[in-house]
Amino acid sequence: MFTCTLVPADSPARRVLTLVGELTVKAANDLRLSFMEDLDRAESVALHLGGVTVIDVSCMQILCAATRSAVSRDVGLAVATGFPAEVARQVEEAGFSRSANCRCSAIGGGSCCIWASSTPLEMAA
Amino acid sequence: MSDHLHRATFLEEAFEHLAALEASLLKLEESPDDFEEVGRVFRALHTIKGSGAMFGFDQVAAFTHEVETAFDLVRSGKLTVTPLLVTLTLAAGDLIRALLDAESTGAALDHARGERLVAELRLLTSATEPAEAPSSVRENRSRTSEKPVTYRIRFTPGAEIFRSGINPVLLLNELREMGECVVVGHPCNSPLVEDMEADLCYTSWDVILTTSAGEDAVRGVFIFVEDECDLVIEPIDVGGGGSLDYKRLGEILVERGDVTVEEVARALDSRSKIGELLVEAGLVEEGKVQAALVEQGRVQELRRERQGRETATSIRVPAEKLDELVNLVGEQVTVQARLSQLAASLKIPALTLIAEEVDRLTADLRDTTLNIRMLPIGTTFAKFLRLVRDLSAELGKEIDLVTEGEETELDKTVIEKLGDPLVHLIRNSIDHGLESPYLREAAGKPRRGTIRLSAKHSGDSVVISIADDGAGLDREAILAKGIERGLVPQGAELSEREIFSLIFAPGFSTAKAVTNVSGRGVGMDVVKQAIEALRGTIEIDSERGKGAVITVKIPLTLAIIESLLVRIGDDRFMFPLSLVEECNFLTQDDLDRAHGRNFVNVRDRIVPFIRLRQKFATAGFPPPLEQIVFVNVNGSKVGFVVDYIVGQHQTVIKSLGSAYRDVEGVSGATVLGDGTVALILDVPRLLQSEEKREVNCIPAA
Repeated sequence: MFTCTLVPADSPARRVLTLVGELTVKAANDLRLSFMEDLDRAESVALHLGGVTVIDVSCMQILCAATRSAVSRDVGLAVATGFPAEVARQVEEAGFSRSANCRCSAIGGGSCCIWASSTPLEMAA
Repeated sequence: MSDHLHRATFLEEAFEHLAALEASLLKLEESPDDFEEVGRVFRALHTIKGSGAMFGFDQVAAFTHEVETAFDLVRSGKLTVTPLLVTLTLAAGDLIRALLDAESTGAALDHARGERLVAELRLLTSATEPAEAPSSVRENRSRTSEKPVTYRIRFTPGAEIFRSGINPVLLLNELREMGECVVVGHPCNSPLVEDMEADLCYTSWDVILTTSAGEDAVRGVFIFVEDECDLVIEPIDVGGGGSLDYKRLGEILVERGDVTVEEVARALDSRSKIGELLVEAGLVEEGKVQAALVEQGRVQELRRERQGRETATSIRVPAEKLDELVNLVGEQVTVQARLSQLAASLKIPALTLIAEEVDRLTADLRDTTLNIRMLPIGTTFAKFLRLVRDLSAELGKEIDLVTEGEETELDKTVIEKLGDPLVHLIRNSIDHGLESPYLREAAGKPRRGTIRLSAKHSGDSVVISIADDGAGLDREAILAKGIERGLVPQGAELSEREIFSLIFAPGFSTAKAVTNVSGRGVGMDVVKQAIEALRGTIEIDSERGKGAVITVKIPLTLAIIESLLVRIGDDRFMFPLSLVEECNFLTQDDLDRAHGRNFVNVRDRIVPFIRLRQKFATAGFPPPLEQIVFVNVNGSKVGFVVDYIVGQHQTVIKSLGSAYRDVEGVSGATVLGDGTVALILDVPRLLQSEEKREVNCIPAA
């Protein structure tokens, strides 16, 4: 069961996206739509992933694509709370872990990769 | 290496493979589904066959092929491991051993036995039904390659793979089960989130897999998605030689088709890190570079490991060369002792320094050399598993052999000489000690008896114990037999241990029936002699109805011992220090209290003593105050009266020439620092001869 909570932060432009439950192919389209809505409205989005219990490749792809979409729209997307250990293991198992930022999402000069171990967990103010 | 040496090496290795084969078969009997053991059995047979054919052992190769065929069927899931298959293969192992022995010794062969075995094996294998459609696991098993091969796998699943309910990570996990595996996914090919379809797969994977499973087995993992994916499987390291260096990053990326040669060349011009340059230039995704780096790192690591193994593995040296080395070290220890003695008498500081340095180096050299000959006793223990299995079947008993302390190391020579006595002790425990299952049940014991064989270090000795939970020794029957045979004077009071020791007397047996295994009354005395020849001791403890424990204590090495040097007249003798309990003066008061008998009071305990001066008929007179060395042999305390105790000494044992080999009570000799010779006392034999003399009332020499 997947739930997604969008919470406006101190201003409508700064939003918090909390993902909870199973991020599997069944929830993939809902997840995609949530990101689209968020990225359309906000200047920055803080991702809270601590409540995710399962993630499969379909949703990993969406998180990856969302990161690149955010860069292309100049929206700050950052992980505020990382995955629990078991979910991080699933990411590792799928071969998505990166030791450095991915430059293929570096549109507009920035660079961010949701899978990189060097990605800051705390979102910049 | 000459052909003769090649063949000798093959023989040595073949015997090792046969020992491993036997151990694996016994494990398989316990757990027939253990596929790793099946693999070990197959590999042992395969190696014996292959190498045998290579070095001209055609008979060995041909026969082994028959057995190998059976285990090939097991590997492919067409034949199951049954007790019959294990028994036939064990028998086949014995025959292969006999064939190898015949090659080296020219012994006659029982060809009919071989033909019978082949016929039985063929009957067993011909009865197998062809397996049904083989599962992917069986496919993996059947097509293994001998050496591990590293593959580069690029897996690009069809976009609709999620819609068919397949999770690609499960395929990756299946690869992981086949060997060392590194997976790098490439999710960056997906469009932006607004343009993508959530249930399509945009990810591809690069995998570096090192496995012995063979390419077909690797491909087999993708069997259900093969038509809907792009799959490239390329071997990149086949486990052979090759230099330590692997391809450069640029080369790997070009080979994989991720960049062109020109793009690499352009990036290299700027003399920065190639991977970063290519990513920065937008020519390749970071994930692709990471995958290429993984490949580079993995292959380099594998080659380093292989090179390390090749340089660090052991070398095979003939045992005679080691014996020669130990002899030379023995000479050196003697010369070093002379040097130390000279330096001490001359009192020249420079010479003393050199002598001390030589002393230190000699001690290191001695320890290292003796260590080279040390082997774990587990090699001997492994043989007993087979012995117990065969005897259990022969005698209709159910027995578990539990071994402990297999890693305990002992000198190779000691291990070799220990094999036969231990076999005899275990046979005895099985035949006389452990009861048949119905008797055990009647006595409220578990049906299965247990023999616990353990080894552990204790100072400069190794203690081996064989404990069984059987009926224990019949104290009364042994004593009665001892009295009947005149070994025990009527009315004599013996301790429990002394009564049990009677079974070591030649020809002693309380068995009512003689079996193939034991009961003929030959053996235990031979066991005792063999243990004592190793300067060891043997003791028995037993509790009626609960079982018996036989404890064998033997020195770590036969080459050098710690000893106590004593003097009698001008002669010098050595006591093995492991037997010495204490030393004291033999005062006139002690002798007065003994009233002419050879006994001395030690802390209110009457201990017999032997005068060595008398025993060896040494010329001259003893000093006014003699000294006495107390030893403990098989639990009995005995004193030996000597003129002077010189002190502790490290002794390099030299065997006596043939003329002196039968001298009673002397097991060897050593050369002292001043060049004189000291005789090493065989204390157990000395005691035995004294006991015999007393029984027969023969006056001492």
